[in-house]
Amino acid sequence: MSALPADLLPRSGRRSALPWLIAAAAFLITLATSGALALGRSSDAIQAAAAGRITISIGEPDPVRREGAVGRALALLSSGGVTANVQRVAQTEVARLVSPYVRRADIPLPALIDAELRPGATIAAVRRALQPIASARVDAEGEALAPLLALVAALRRLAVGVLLLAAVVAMLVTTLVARAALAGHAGTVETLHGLGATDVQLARLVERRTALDSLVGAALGVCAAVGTILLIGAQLDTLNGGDGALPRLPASEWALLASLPFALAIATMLAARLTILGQLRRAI
Amino acid sequence: MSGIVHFENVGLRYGTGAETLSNLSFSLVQGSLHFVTGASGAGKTSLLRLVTLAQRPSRGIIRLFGEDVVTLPREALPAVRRRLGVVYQDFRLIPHLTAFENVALPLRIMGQDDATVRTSVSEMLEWVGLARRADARPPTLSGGEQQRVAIARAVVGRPDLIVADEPTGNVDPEMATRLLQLFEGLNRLGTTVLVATHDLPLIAQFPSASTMRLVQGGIEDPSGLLRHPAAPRRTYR
Repeated sequence: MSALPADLLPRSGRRSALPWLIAAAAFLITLATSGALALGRSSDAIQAAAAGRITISIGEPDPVRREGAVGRALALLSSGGVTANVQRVAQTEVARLVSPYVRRADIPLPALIDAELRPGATIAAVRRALQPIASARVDAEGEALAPLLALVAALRRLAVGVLLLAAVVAMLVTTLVARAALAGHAGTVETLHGLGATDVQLARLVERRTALDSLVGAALGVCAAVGTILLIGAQLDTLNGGDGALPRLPASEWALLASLPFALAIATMLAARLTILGQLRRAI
Repeated sequence: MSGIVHFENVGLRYGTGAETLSNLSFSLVQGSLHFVTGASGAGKTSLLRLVTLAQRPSRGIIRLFGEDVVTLPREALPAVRRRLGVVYQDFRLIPHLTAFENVALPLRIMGQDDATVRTSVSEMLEWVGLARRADARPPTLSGGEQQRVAIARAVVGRPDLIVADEPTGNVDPEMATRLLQLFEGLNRLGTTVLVATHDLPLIAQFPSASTMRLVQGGIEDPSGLLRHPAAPRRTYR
């Protein structure tokens, strides 16, 4: 079957700006996607690390009574069946941890005990077990990390928002370009309608070109974004404590980023098709 | 009797003004040759726009090939249009396509295969005497050549009805006669032909054709032959 000539609705003299606009959108979408993925994995890692970790502090000013309370607490935790890996933090370590904030050496410091909840055990069970020791306080590490996790979640939502915004902008730009293409060829479109062309045949003429422009633009944008991600990752790796999560995206997530140009091309093609069909529906 | 084109009390109004066409009722039977004439502004082009489905009427019934095209869903109109061959007053050739590709458009729209397109278009260009200009683009063709490309495009799909709006308006009298002889030849092969022109001497050269005269948006049809056509190729003067 023969197809209508691809150049039936040619471009105007100037090069289309669509590939560059799509490239900019693809750049933002890729950065936002990889950011959302990395933040999601960071959040999971933090939660996994903090899950089940508890700290018992014995706030007893008298050293003798404090040591007695620590002994009873260790005994209760070891025999209660709700905790594992119970370990006292050395008092010198406690002193080192608070030294940036407490300059005076005469202030009594609490004793700290680290432990992990056994599977199925709750922090309430630990609190019940330690009820006989009035000076014992039980804290979950997860509670301390809640503000950090909330920040990570907020950043992730922001990344998803940027992603959606860039995608919407890409679709709007496509819509405007498709409308302009149709308006620029109103006479030809009317003639083709008169010859019996269907709306879908006419839409294909525009959407084919739009898809190609989008594919080129999106490929450019994604390549630039991947370069940026690798650069940022390399810089994070040089920092002490930088987690370097971005460049170590798993293969499945790299595959997702690689599929973005095609997804954008398909999405813009559909946007162009819907725009053209909507416009043509106004003709007889 | 319902013809290949059937109008019943058709009126056309642009916007809120007076009716451009009013109370048009006529039938054109298959295989007939008709001229539509009338002064400028009488409504010839509006009538042809209704016949070619470029415009819906404000009222009345229009049937083409037995289909009520006024109530026909929009999606069904392309199939009806493919049974029409239209020669526009301004040719409406696609300027960046070659003469060959312009003529091939109706066949490509119909989805015919490349071999059929090549054969049919070459034959058609040969028929209109433009085989050697197949690769020329419309801006490089003379008015007469463009007109013949437009006619070849209208005819290449073997339409049941050919509609031409002032097809001789841009060519010399000799070429005008030749072009209309092309239409007459197609008509002899069974195609219904409807030509709008105000060139009365030209019409006189085709005595076998019937002529409807538009006056202020209405049809002069004193003998009723358009309303009740008895046979194809009837003379109405």
